[in-house]
Amino acid sequence: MRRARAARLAAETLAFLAALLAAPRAEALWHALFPEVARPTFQQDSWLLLLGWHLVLSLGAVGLAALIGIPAGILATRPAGRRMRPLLDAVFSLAQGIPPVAAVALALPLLGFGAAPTLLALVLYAALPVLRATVSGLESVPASATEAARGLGFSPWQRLRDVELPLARPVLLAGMRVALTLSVATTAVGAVAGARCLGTPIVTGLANANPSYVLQGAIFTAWLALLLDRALGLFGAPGPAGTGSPGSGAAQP
Amino acid sequence: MTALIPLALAAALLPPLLGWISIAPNRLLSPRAAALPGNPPVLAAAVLYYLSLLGTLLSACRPRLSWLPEAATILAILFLSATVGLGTAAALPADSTVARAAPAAGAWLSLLVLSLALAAAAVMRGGMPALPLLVGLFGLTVLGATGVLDSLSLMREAAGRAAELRDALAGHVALSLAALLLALMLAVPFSALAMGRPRLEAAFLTAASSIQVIPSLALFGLLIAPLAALASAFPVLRELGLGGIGPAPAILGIAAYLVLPLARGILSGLRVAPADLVEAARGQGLSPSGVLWGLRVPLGAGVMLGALRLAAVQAVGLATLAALVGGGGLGTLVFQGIGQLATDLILLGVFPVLALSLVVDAGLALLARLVPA
Repeated sequence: MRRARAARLAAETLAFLAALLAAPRAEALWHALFPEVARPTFQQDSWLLLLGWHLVLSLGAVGLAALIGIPAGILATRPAGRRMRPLLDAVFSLAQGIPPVAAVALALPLLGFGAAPTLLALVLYAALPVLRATVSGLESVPASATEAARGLGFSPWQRLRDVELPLARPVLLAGMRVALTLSVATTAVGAVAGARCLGTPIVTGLANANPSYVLQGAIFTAWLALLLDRALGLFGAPGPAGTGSPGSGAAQP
Repeated sequence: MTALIPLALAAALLPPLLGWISIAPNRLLSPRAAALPGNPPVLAAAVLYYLSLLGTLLSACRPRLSWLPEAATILAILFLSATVGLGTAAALPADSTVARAAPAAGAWLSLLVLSLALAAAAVMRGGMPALPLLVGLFGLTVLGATGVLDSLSLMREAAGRAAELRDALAGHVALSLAALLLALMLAVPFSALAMGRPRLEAAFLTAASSIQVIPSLALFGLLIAPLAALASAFPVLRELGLGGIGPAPAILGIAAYLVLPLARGILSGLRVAPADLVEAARGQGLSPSGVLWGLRVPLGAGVMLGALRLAAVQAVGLATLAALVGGGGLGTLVFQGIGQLATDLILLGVFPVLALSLVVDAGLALLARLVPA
């Protein structure tokens, strides 16, 4: 079952790459779809390069977010960190009101045009679902399990590594999945702030009244997001429709 | 309450360390941190700021009156803003009309830290963070109305663009409301249909959740071409305001994201009523619609309102992106600001979005509280 899903995902990834390579050569198709557009084929940038940047930015951000969010979540569930819990909830409720677009926009005057403001906004935003999922995953571990581990003479570190984290894994992965969705989407918005990514053709097309560029960029951005989400689903992360994603909350910027 | 202590200390130290106010000779030059003028009103405001912070610290240590830390923190926010406002008024060169003044990094960070402290204090009291934040925001509005903040470039920008700001705000509310209504029109009948049909429910939720994965920018972009084609095929639609560029792709796109949280909330709300209670009601001869309206809806109202609240807050945030596809709303100011790298313009767009989502969040939360759980 899982093998078949992996094979299908691999095939779809190949189809995605083939379409990406074919897009700049499909002048006839874009021309037929948008006869009124003078230059309907996006050729300013190599699609592979745009894909590469999109992946580097969004996966890099999820990686950094995991490096921040998971340890912070572990700390917040230790006895010493419990006091900081209200602060975490406050951060979550504040961040919920600020759309990631706004975060990118606010980082812009600080960091200038380019990938930097996008990356800052990305990391901050992606860290929140990871952190929230880590906390709720660790809190969902039944007390009986940790008690039993204590009874067996496990040290706190062993309890965390061998009991709590494995039991919290599905919730944690669901949080990572939300973080990934969020960061793929925020990266696309980052094109407005000058980050080169698959959102660039969309933004260029919108600025120059070229619906063909918009469509091309939108197809590949959406496709990439779906592929990446399915890839994480393959690792056993419950999807957004699953019941096991407490606290995943809003995904879209 | 101990979480408040480091926050209050940070709020006390940040402005003197990183600056209270910054002055730029004109709009193009970057602002530099300037010394806080030492005239009596500024000093008085600064002293009151530190007294309020002391109040936050003391009340955090003695959790007797639970709302006291929040009140002290709101006062601190107001006095910090007053200090900055009065300070910039005194520091701006009187002969220059192009010089611009803004809070410096220290003041901005303190405001952020204080908002966090306010929200954290509310969480510790067991309340909603949105409410005290909203009170603080109201206080700031009153402070702005007195003219104390008028010398800040943000307020000047707001005064200069008052009409534009009003339009953008109205447009933003209209976009969010339209999308929310459209999503409700889809989610309510689908949930009702899916109630007793697990396979339909699974298929519907799977479809709705794969939409959730698609980046909003891409979804708006995907909708432009088909909508433009529709409008050129049926000119009637164009007269109705439906077209490729404009509010239509944004409203449709936003609504598409809201369907999942709404449908999930409605479905789980309908299931709040225990099965045996439903059976008993049926046994008493209650009709299916009687079971729905007399039992399932009242019992699940809290859960459903929670979903509505989540969706409404999401709609307000998502509507920011509508400006990119020509849909208007507060995003117009944000994207203009990005284009000109004008911080004030960006803030002028972002602050109302934040305020609006706070209002929606708090308003619907209060409504949910009125409903017996």
